[in-house]
Amino acid sequence: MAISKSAYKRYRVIDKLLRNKFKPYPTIDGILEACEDSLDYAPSLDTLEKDIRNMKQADVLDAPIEYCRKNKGYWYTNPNYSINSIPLTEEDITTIKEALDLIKNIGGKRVNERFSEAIQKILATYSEEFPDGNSQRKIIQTDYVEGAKGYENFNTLYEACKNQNPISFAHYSYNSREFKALIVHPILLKEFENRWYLIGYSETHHAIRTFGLDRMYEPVALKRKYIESNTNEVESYCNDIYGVYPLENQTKQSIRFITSIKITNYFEAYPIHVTQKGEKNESGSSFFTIEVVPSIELIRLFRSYGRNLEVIHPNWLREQTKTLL
Amino acid sequence: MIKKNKKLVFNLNVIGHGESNPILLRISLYPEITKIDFGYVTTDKYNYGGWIKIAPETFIENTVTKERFVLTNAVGITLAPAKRNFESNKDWQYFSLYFPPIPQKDCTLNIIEKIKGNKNDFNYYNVPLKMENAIEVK
Repeated sequence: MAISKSAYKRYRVIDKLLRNKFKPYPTIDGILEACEDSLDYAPSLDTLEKDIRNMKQADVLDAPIEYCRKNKGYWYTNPNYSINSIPLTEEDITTIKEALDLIKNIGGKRVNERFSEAIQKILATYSEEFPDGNSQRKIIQTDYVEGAKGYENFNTLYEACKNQNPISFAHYSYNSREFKALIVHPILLKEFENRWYLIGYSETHHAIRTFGLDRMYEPVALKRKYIESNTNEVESYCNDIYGVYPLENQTKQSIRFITSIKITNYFEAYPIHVTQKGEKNESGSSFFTIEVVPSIELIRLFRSYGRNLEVIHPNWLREQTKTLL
Repeated sequence: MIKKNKKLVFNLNVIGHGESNPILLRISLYPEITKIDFGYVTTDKYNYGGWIKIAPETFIENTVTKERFVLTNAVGITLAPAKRNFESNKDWQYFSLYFPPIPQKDCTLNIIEKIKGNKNDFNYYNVPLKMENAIEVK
């Protein structure tokens, strides 16, 4: 059963009262008063009674709450119970606060409703526990633009990757302008330059392939044996690359290029791959070497720098990228 | 062996009988519905890619028993006479047609938008569905 953000805030108030040893057995009126003090509104008595019933449900919090007729108030039959049973250190709390800020800023609408709900629950707790946390003020901004295609399938694809479920989906290729129904054994979801991709073993292509989420239609999970791809192949496909679309029939290789004084600092500050090594010249230009499988995105990146970047080797890549020099 | 009344999907990738026909991508046989997925790509045959629509009388037919199942719903495509105009001859459209459930056993289907239609109608003849090619959906 999902807990709404507002309900969870009330549960926190109730839990706090039930754990207060100096003022045990809070009454429903006492709970109402505490809610009025802690929250921005006064919930009805019906709502609070329903909250207590819900908290007791096994699929919600399984809270051992009973009403004591003698003391005319509620209590936990297990004195060690709390809805926050995991003790956190100050350092833990600081780390969580930072992580929540980050998730809220980059993950809010980008991921999906289900994740957002979970985040909201955590944020509700966080706001009450740390009222100084100004969650309205945005301090991280990403270039995500709402309205991108394909996010509606994010959850299905995430579950398929997690549970290793083969999927059937319709795919439209922007390049060949063709539709095809495919069966893919998903490996992982990858983001690159603000776009999401599914990487998986394609039965049609008999190889690992990349599929943009924006080009996938109606994926459905299949009851079919999952084809596990070779671990080394997966590692190489996912990691030995700048981007997501490796060039056909290319293997991992050493790529050497030189950058002008104008752009060297950027390459030094933001390496394009973990294997990147630089040798700076006296003038301020620099030679860089990366060990990757050449990709469409790498060529695009190199071309985008025009005369400020020149590929030294391999020669075929030099030829492909010098057209704009 | 797949039991009957499961959720089954056939990945087909069948071209229709006319050059402007959409590709028949998948047929899903569910206990409640039959769903057929198509992908349409515009060509430069028409200005701005032309338009797309589907006749509400569209039906699927078992070629042996001649039993017919008439269209119940369409998603991603407008029902004629309304039509959706494309903006360019590089557009595309994914759409699905829904029909009543059909028996989950080997059969051959015709998908007919217009009886004795021309090559612009979305007609598909003799589409084989063999249960051994069906994949069960979770």
